Amino acid sequence: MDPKFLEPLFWIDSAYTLTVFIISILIYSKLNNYYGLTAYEGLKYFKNSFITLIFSFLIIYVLKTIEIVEQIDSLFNIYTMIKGELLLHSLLTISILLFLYYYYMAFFFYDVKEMNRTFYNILRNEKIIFLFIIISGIVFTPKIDLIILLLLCFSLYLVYRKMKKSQKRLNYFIIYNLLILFYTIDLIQLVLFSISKYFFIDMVMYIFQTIIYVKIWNEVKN
Amino acid sequence: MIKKRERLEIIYDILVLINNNHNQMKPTPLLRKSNLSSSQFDKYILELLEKDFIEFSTVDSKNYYSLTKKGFEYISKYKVILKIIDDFDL
Repeated sequence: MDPKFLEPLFWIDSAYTLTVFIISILIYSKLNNYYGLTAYEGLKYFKNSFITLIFSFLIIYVLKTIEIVEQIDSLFNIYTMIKGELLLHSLLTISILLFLYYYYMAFFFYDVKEMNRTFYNILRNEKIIFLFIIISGIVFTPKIDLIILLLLCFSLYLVYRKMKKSQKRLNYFIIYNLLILFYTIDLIQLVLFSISKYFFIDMVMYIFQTIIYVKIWNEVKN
Repeated sequence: MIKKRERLEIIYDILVLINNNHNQMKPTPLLRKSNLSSSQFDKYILELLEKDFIEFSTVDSKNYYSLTKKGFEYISKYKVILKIIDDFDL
């Protein structure tokens, strides 16, 4: 095996992605069961946000692994530059946009419904949204950093708005948004910086994210 | 927020009414005790029958509604589900 694959960061990345994958699947299946019983719209979008997160984390993992492989094999490097990375970056953009859609709908579906019925009916039509997102994913991929910035702004705005409006403590809502914050940092690191330089930051982020995932799972599993 | 999950509460109330009546309740007292209009009641009963939460049976030429396994599951998980909706503000 090539020494690059023996680097701790590669194994930590792999273990972290596997952990996130398993916990997300568990959370999704529980929420899916609750949605099957209630058909509550907020639950549908919330559960799907975890699926899009898995999708995103898997692409991030593949991109990080490619970066390692590229350092080993220059032929692979040329191949990924031409075909692979472009496709993967498009998929990453699509996963971010899909996540944004489910994330926003989970918390705001009712506000949109009250505000504008026509707009709401368009938004809840997943086929139209998927088509729009796939086209946007291809068109906006060169501007992926802008989408990540959008994601961060949206979530910060959402937290601000909810906190301002709500009269109760929203601990789990904040915990969920912390997860989004870490996800955004992960994306920024992947797109704008070199991955292998920030071992300590990665470790801290992975530990925090795993704790958050376990906490959400504990809340959902009861 | 209450309006947002109103549907879930009405369904829970109907199921609990049936359950508290030894899992067998006639349509007329169920309508009366549910505090719903006749049209609303019909809409919810139809949904509950379609989703297999309740079943309709006739005993000695009298009509009854009773809970199915899924109906009991809804009652048992209702509070957990409501807590998730509240905690995450969905």
